[in-house]
Amino acid sequence: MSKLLKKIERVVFNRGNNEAPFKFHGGLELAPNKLGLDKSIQTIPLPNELVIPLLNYHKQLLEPVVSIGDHVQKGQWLAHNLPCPANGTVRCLEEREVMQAQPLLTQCIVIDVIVSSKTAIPSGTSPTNNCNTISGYNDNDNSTNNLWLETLQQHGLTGLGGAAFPTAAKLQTWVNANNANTKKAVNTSQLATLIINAAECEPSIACDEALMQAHADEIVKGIELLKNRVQCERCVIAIEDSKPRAIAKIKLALEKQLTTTKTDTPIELLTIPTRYPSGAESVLIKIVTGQSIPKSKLPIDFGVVCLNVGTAYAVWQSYQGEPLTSRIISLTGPAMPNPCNVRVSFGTSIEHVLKSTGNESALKNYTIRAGGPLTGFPVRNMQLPVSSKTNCISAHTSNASATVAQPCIRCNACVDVCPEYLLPQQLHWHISAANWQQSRAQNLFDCIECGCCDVVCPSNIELSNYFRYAKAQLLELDWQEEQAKIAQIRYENRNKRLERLKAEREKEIAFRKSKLATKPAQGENNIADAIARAKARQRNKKKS
Amino acid sequence: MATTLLTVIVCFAILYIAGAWLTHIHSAANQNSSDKQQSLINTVNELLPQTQCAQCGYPGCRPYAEAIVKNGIDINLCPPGGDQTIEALANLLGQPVIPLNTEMGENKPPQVAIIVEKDCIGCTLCIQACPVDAIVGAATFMHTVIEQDCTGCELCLPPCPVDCIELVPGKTGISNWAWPKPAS
Repeated sequence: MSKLLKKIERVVFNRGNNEAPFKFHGGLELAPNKLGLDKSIQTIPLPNELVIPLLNYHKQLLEPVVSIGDHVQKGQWLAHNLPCPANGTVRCLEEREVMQAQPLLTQCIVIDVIVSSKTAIPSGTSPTNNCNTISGYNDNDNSTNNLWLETLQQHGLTGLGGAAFPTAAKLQTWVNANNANTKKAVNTSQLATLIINAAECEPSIACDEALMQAHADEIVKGIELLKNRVQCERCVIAIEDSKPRAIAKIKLALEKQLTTTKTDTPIELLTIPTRYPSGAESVLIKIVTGQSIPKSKLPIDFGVVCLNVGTAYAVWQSYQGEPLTSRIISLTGPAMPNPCNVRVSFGTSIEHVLKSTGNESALKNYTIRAGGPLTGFPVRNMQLPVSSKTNCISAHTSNASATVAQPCIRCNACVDVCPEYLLPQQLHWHISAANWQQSRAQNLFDCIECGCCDVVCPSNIELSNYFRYAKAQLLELDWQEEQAKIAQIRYENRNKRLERLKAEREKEIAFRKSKLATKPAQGENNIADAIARAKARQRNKKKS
Repeated sequence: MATTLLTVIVCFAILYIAGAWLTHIHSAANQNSSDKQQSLINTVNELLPQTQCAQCGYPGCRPYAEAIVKNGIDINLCPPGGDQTIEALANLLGQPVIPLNTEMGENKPPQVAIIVEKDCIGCTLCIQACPVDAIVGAATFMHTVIEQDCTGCELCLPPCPVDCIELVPGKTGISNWAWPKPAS
């Protein structure tokens, strides 16, 4: 035990005060500006209506499993793997705008919330709750693991880092590979590593830090659960060194965990230098393992799984039987009257979030962004519902994108800060000329949209917006090509069918003609015979 | 005398062998060039949008590709492909980029056909006209367009006796989710 404690100490103190094991290219040193961390996390009261988009991660429409007028309970499915955030009644299914840079209408379920939880509501079709059947941590056979993954799925667990990738899908292959060696398919020198991303590098977002200060014990339990289930060889929680309070809380929780459970691979606490964008998945993997992940590969191909610290907490909550129906959101920004971190149910409108936290004045006077100043986008419709992707709502005095862009002067500043070794000025050049394939050839899809290039550009060019735009264009072109291939196959198949039918018809005509050609001879005979018979009959009549 | 005869025989033999060999080479070269032509036709065909609309004057994308390669027909006759296709074809064939021949039609945004079902009399004429088999139905039964397979070629419009087919703005892949073009 003391040996293990020493190992943790070494990790915390020796490595923590030095630099992280691996450096990454580029990035920015941005002064942290995390607000509202002195206040505890409040859960904001439920609004009158919740709007739940019927969309999955792949932006496919989901089939609802409830009908209009149904009473629904918290945790009950509205669609497959989509738990309802609160008790209420299904008011309607209609097209509403969802949180997205470009306004988009999509099919949503609108729920009238019934606030009083005491009134008994008849339950509808609710998924079976598997949580109670999962026994202790150490059961690690495949069926228990599959049951656990199924529960994560049913509880609607998605990553809470911002991309909202389904957690169960991320863990699936890893969990089912019993042998650690099969978990590192590509690079065998790499340890099978589970990384918990608590870097939270965007300077003004503080939701993960607030969570770590409030729920360090539960987070550590969640990580322990994940660690035991996926059977990794190394488990790291990485926090930026600008969060001493969170680090202290997590360290305390780790030590407490060590005194209660025996383990060969203790959770390492890795303090990394504060440098944006250390919290981006590919960058953090580079910092922790030294491994660069090309866009054509997934981290899992290199034996690495990266989960957000909020997801680890949600995993623990799910183990306790609680589905993922709310998240912590940072209300921040220079123009936010009362910056704080609050727990918000999915489907709550931005307007309700701001009104119930004393930030109503920000609605009228300032520009509201979903997400932080670097990765977020401006929001105009305040009725947009919060989703598991929304980690921050920030208020700004002026629209940052209103600054006029000047021509690129090829200063190379964007190249120096790009963590993915891209050439942003060159990509911008190709995209401006609508030279899509060239921008793809220069690894446009490696761009993680961190916005470092936007910050340093002396000409105020919105480089990352250009890259988002070009990515969408390329995806559209790929889709068109795919459609063209389908049309070509259908056209060729149709032509083959028409030719076959024509050939069959010609064969049939030829057959009938040949039949006719032989028949006339027989026919004449028949006629002659008939005449002969008729004459014979007449002769017989005359005779008689 | 005998040597002369032998020489003559040998000469004839050599000529015969050389002739046979030359014929063989010639046919092989022919074979080779027709293979090359076929693969060029395939490449050209892949650059065309596969709408199969016949606006170019040929009964489909492949026939037009064959005409371009075999007869050197102009590369600017494809309205659905527009400038993008012309540029791609020009690059492939080493020809100058020329503007679209608008006599054939205008380049339009993606569209799909829909059948106004209350007006459809079930005559099957549109089914026969559809180049990609994207309309289903049977005689005296209502027809409908398989939206995801419709290329928006408009070939079903002329045969319809009751004008119950309309064109609506077409589906796009993820463009509904696209990021707007930056203002600057």
